[in-house]
Amino acid sequence: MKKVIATFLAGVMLTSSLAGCGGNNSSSVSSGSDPSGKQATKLSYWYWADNTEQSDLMQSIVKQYNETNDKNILVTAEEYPWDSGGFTDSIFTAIMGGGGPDLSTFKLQAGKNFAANHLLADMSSYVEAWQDKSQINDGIWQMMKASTGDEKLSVLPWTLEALYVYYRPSYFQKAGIEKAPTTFDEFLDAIKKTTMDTNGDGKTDVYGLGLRGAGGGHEHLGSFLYAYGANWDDLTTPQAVEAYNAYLNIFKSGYAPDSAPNAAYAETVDGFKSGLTAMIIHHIGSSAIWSETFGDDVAAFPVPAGKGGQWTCTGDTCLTVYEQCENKEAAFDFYQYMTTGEGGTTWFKSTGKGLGTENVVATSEYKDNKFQTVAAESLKHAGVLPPTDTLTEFINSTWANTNQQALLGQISAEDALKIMQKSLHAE
Amino acid sequence: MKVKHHSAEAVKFTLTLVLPVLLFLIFLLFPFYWMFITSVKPDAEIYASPLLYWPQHWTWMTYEKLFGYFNFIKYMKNSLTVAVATMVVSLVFSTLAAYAFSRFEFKGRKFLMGLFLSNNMFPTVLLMIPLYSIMRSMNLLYTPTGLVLAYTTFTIPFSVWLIQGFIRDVPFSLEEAALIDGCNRTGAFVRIFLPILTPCLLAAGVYIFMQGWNEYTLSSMFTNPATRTIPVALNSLIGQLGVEWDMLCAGGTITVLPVCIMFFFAQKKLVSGLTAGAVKG
Amino acid sequence: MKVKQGHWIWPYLLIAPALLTMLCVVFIPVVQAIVTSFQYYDLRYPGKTQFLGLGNYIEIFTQDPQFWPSIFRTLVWVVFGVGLQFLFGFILALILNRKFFGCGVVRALSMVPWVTPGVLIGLMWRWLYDGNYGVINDVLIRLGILEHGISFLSRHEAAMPAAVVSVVWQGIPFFALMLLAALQGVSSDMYEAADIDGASGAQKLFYITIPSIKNTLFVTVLLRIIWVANSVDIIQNMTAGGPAYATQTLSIYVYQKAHVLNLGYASAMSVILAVLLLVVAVPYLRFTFQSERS
Repeated sequence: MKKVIATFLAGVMLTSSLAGCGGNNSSSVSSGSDPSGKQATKLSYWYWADNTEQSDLMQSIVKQYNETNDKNILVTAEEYPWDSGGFTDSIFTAIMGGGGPDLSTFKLQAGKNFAANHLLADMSSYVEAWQDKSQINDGIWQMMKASTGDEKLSVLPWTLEALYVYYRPSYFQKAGIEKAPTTFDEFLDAIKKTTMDTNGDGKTDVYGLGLRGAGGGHEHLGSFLYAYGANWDDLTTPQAVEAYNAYLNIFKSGYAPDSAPNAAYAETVDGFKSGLTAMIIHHIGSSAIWSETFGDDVAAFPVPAGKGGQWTCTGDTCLTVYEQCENKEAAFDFYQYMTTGEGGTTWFKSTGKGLGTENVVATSEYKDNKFQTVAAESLKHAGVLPPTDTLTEFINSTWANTNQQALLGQISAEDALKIMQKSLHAE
Repeated sequence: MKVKHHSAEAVKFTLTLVLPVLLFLIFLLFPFYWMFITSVKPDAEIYASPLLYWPQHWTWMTYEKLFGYFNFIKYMKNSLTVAVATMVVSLVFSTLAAYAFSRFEFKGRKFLMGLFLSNNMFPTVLLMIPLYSIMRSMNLLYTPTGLVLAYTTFTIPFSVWLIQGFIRDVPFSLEEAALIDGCNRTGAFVRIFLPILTPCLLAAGVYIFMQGWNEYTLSSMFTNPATRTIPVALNSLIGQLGVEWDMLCAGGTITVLPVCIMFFFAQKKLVSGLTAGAVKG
Repeated sequence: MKVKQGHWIWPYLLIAPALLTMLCVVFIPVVQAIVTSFQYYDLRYPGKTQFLGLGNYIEIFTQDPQFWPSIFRTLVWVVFGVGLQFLFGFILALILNRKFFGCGVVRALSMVPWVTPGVLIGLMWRWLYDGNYGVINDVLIRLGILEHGISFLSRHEAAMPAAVVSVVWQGIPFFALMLLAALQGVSSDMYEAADIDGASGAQKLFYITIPSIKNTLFVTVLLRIIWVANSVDIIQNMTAGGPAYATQTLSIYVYQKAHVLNLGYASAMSVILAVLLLVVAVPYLRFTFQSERS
């Protein structure tokens, strides 16, 4: 038997030298354009869709673009599943393996890893020359630039969705709260008061907040940190501990459902939708669901300022052009169409998502939607987590597990924050 | 199994057959049942409290949407093509190899068997980038052939070991008899072996088929919207804004049913060995 | 008991198609991954790639606080997951091997969990387990077993058993089918002879059935161990390794490390997992080769 394994291992070792030369000969073959200029410039564009409607919408926008653009650009749009972030991995794998698209939808948080491998195109010269550049405010451009860590502008903003608080006015009324909270303490108080036993059987049946203890919940913690005067740069300050304790207490005092530790988006949505929770922190993307479910019995307010400050996290969908794209000008033309052009307007009208550019603000969909005002107000205080090297690891793995340990009382708030600090800011 | 009309027999029958069958079916089918009724519930009832074990209003809208503009038939065709092709290729390759392993003595046999076994011990997530390069250099990216090749590779080890295990459980005397009777090796293989192996090949075939029908990771990487298979299509119903439960459940139901119906017809072959049992021994 | 007649090249020809496919698709990537495991290879820092020797392994064994717990959880996951699948799958196979009214339908329906796509299994069970509107809680409350709902997947002690139940659910049909197929090869003459001798059901099971299908039993269990140990889809979709690492098996850990592009480290852990699986496989290989000699 030993012989078998020994032979096996020897075989493995031997072939390892062979594989060294075998795997790396992936010279890039472009599926893209013909430089002669006569033929159409072809762009391969990958995107994810958050639901079937959006996937249809994207296809029709791209079709429209192909028919109307005067530069003979032909975009092929291919959908890939979001797969809780697996989308970005697919693109990474494809490009590293020598394939992949010319441009795609993108998440800011992936900027650093892609840039580190020199996969992203620097689009700053195109942006500088863009007449609509100023319609998107400077802070947003800064955020994009910071995300890659290489001083290049590679990730282009497409839609930003600042988080704010949705609540059920009927529950507020039942709990005797007269107006939407304007300070962080009032917010916490509202969470406490809207935790109710509505049928008198001695058990809580409405919880104040649909706390998101698992994936994505770190975005909510951010608001707590800043309200108490802490920030993402140092999670070990006394303010951060105070903030985190306030956060943990919501669950420990029973103001959030038992399922909070494993709750990601789906659980929090189900909770709010079924009336189990009085408040939920989310962005404009879900407003249509709530209006449809509750009619007038849903409203929103920005995450309020605390004694230390005001901050909310913004969700993002960006567009990025890859270094392997042979016609970056064409790609940028498509980007323009998707933001301040017709494509951006169409997308906004159906999804409520955009950048607040002129074409968007002018629509009746913008003016008539009460949530858009709250979203715009929230965007003023919005930011993202610092783009550290280990951000993805923090978001994908450390956050949930550490926060769950703290929620379940296995470790103290201080220790949890120390772990998070180490994970987020590892050199 | 004939039921005799003595009460003791009836009790025994209930305890050893009816009850276990019922318990198994409840456990195995309940999640499926839940998936199915979720797919025919209107949205409001999916989140109703208290839970509804039977929909108050049936709606087939989801299925219309699924086959209408979601174009689920296309993905089913893709999955079917890939699954059937993989099944055929992998089964042929595996049977040949398994036969060699179990009925021949040759140099390097143990090493090769070990190699086959170790093939699946490595998590696929780490193989993706090199695999993508390989597929690309062979011009197989986004083609059903590429997927068939990948699935064949990942199902061969299992099938080889499974089939050689089966063969080893088959008494050697049978084949010997055929060889003595003047059959050549190929004749012995086709006339004696294959019929006895039918249940085993069927089981292995079902395994390979399921793999092709259900696999997600490789398919998500090596297909594009035109060649996409069912699991990837279903996964695109899970966006950042949550899960389209009704569509997902309808898709799940439709994924499961045809295979079960196919299996219903196939299983007769699976147990046909019972009647052919007299041949063996 | 091997046939040695025929040309020496025959077995190689028979194996060639399978072997070639395997070599060209899996072998090179696997070898590359093994090489990677000896490197500092983190695509977040592509410039820092360098040969580390056993560096990754040393760090894993001595400094990684998550490694040993995840080995332990893998053990729990595999032992209970595969063990219970096997036990119930075998029982189901024995039941399905009988002829009764509607047996065809029951056989077909039993396959349902296995046909269900893995992604859906994870999500579906996550929903079934939900503390607030999960149907499992609802049933348990209605039956009076629970007073109020438990969030199975949010509890440290309950998450792993819950995940095991769903993998058992998925795997029962696999064993049922494979063992049912194997049972077809057992000669009915032997049972008849045993009946004449007045053997009990249990005696027939242990002295006839099990020995007759032992090869299939071993192969299926072994291959299922490999499969379950490497599986990520169910856990990833149910809990993503949480809560508080409670369901983080080694394969989930590898998956997560690979996703953050720390490929050298992830590869090293994969090699460890593969070696552990080889260790499990060795007794089986030994058994196989020994039984050939006898």
